[in-house]
Amino acid sequence: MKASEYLEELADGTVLDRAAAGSGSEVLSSSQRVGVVIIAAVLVVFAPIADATSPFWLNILTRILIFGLLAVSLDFIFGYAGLLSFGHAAMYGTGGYAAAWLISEVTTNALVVLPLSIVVGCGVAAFIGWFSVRARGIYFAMLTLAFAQVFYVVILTDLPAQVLGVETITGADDGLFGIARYGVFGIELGGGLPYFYLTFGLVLASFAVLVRVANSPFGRVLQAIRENEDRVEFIGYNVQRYKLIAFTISGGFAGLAGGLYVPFQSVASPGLLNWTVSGELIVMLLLGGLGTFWGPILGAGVVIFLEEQLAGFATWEIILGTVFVVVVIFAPRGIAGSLETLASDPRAAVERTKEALSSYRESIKR
Amino acid sequence: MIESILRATLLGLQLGVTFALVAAGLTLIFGMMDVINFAHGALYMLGGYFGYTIATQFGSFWAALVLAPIIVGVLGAAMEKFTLRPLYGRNPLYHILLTYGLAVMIQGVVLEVWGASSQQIPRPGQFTGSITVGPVTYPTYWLFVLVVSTVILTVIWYAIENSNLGILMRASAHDTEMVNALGIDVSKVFTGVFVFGAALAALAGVLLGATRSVNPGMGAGIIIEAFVIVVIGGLGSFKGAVYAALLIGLVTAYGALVAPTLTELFLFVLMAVVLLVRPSGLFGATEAA
Amino acid sequence: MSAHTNHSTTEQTSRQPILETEGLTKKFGTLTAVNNVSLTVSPDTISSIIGPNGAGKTTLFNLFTGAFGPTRGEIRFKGKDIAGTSPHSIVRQGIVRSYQITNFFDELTALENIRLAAQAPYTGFRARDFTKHYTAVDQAMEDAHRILERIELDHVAEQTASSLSYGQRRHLEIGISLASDPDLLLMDEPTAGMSPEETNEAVELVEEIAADTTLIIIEHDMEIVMDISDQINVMNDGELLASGTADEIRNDERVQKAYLGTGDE
Repeated sequence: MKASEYLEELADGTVLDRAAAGSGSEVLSSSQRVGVVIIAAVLVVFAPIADATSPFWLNILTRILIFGLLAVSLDFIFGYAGLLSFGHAAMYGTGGYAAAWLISEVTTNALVVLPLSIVVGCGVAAFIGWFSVRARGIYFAMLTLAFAQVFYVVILTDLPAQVLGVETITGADDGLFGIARYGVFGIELGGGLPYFYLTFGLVLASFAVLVRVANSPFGRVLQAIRENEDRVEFIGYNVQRYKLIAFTISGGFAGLAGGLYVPFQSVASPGLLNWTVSGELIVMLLLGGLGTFWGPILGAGVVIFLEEQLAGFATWEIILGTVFVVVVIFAPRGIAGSLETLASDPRAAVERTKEALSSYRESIKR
Repeated sequence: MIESILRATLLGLQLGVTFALVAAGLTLIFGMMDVINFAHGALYMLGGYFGYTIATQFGSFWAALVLAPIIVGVLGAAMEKFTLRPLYGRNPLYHILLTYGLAVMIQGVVLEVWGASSQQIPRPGQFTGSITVGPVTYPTYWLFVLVVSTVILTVIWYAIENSNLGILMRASAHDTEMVNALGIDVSKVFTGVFVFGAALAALAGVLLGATRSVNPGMGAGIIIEAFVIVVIGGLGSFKGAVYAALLIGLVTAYGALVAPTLTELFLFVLMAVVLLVRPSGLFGATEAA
Repeated sequence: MSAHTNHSTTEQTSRQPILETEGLTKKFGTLTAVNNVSLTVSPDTISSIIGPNGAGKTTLFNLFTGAFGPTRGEIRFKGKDIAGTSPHSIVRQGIVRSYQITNFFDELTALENIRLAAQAPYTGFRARDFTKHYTAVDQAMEDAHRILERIELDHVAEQTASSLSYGQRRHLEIGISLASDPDLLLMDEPTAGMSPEETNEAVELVEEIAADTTLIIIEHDMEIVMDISDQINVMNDGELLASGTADEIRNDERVQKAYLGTGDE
């Protein structure tokens, strides 16, 4: 990958949080942490009110949190380590299927099922990553896409059942239905509010872990890999190993997101693993703001909200595609990045918009 | 047994050359512009749908075969000019993202205009029958597809080997300045290659639209196959794309004989094996320097 | 031999070479970039590799660092064959390269750049390395500060690498290499593009480093080469044309004919 170009384009966007934190490269500065705590407190307090007045919005909120987690897991590997994964649907979907199967066959105990969802996500990521990490840039994206499709096909054709000679395991095209929600120590988490709190707690904990890893020495090496992969190898780091581990960690959180989503919807369908899910995820991430920790959640929120509100207005794909194309061309730093510019210097933001438009006109005239 | 194997071989070759039309465009665009065109499958699908509409409205398969690639080529030109061009010089990953967005958009348009149901392009009158060669009965349309695609591929191959197009391709992706110095307008070359690739994909869409069906999922399906092909063949290598496409066509056809549900899995296994033995593909540059 | 008279030739030959190649060959398709090169580098010396552009100097470096595997031949480092070993483990064994075009992490501070390199030896993927990732941070930070002082960049430690001046960036480049604690440092044109004053500083730094590190240098400035090298290796068309002290090279007919005589530099 042409690291220097990547940087030129993304320097502001990807290292947004670093700018806020001063010369260090801390992800999520202390002021932003305060923001997270405030938002979290607001959500905790208002969730019961939302539950009482309009459960629909609580449902949307839970979905946003789950997809936010998924998008953040992708951000960890793409925004932070510079590896564009087009295969996150595989970890997400298998994590979800693992949860569905365990809940139906073994237990609804979240403390058993969710860790296993994470393990499955890690395992699938390790498999895909093992083939993909020696590639970089475009090649990496294509390989993750292709190898992720392996799992889609395996689930869709119910290969495990064919191999084991039993009737069904994944439910083939139909998927697995009627998946119960979790319980912990005999407490049922079936209702909208308890499930929201479960999701909320786990998503928050996941963010904490990911921020911690990103700020660790390990995270620094990943960041260096994004900036200049070759040189990292030539100062004595096993780059492929770092990439593989980062991808595996990311896959674990994608698996967790799947494990939260499937009981929430009570269905595991092969569509969870389709590459279009990976694509939609990338849309959320880029729309929200690559390399920031709250951008992906914002992106997930906007996409899910729009999908809910506009689905009847026109074919959803047209809207989604158009919004995405515009963002890639005009605002590669996403909503979070643009907001940041706007907040720090409103006048410069207007100037930059003008510049962007005129340089666009310039480039299409050539 | 022999018959079904022979039949599968012919089917595989025919599929292979058509896949090669799609993959060739993808790999040419990459070789020239360093762009992975995610919307390539969507253009193939548009070719199928325009072909279907033209063939059913005008009652002429031949009109569809000629007009659909032209229409898609023009759309390709617009795509290149208004969306891809502003991104040249940025990290190539942006092109994947952009063209993914375009693919989603086109998918939406297809659903809006043609609906979700599956269609079939009527075959031309001359090629509705079948022909028996020895023990094998083979639809004449398949032979037609085989011949047309092979001729087109041969022409492209010849053009790349015997003109400075090939040299230009190798030079331009990595050194636009050098190409500029040769007095060639790079942006025109880029547009040209993109339009040509789009038209090839559309042509394949029409050809296969009369054997496989025309449906809103065909673009997403073929792009994965095309990715597998260019990864196996070596990204940016035309020769590699053709060989790999034939390989994939044959694997698909034989796979359908052995285990129809697992055909797609065979493709990925094949890809994994190739990558393990030759990480940069069969005809990819060996030193990734 | 004016600068390094302390390394006497007899002493060198009596010791085991730190680096030794035998019949080293690298082909790219039909092009033979390095052809049957057999050379020997003694510990605690400065060796230079000179030759016209395209002579195979940089390819030779790339072979030493593991960027390429050789087509044929052996590379022995401290008596062990390292041909075909991956770059990161070659670094761990002690061969480190610095680059002519500054090649590091622009968006990180000078200190972070060095610290990353200094930390590599402490990391790994075995179970016991896992916690080291954290405990070794202080150690690596100490190393990094020490190196920053050595390359005289301690006053800009907290500035991003991209904001440094050209000369400072070249120093940082060398600092990153030093942070890997090399036994053998390969330097690619350490004075390229520098003003006379900066060049003098760079040469001083090179000589200072040579006090405890074996150096191989690719350099075009013949004055510097003749001045600091214990051994000079002349390459042409991928082959090792001659190898010897400055005087021996000056008086070598083949070299005069093939290289010095052509007035390439």
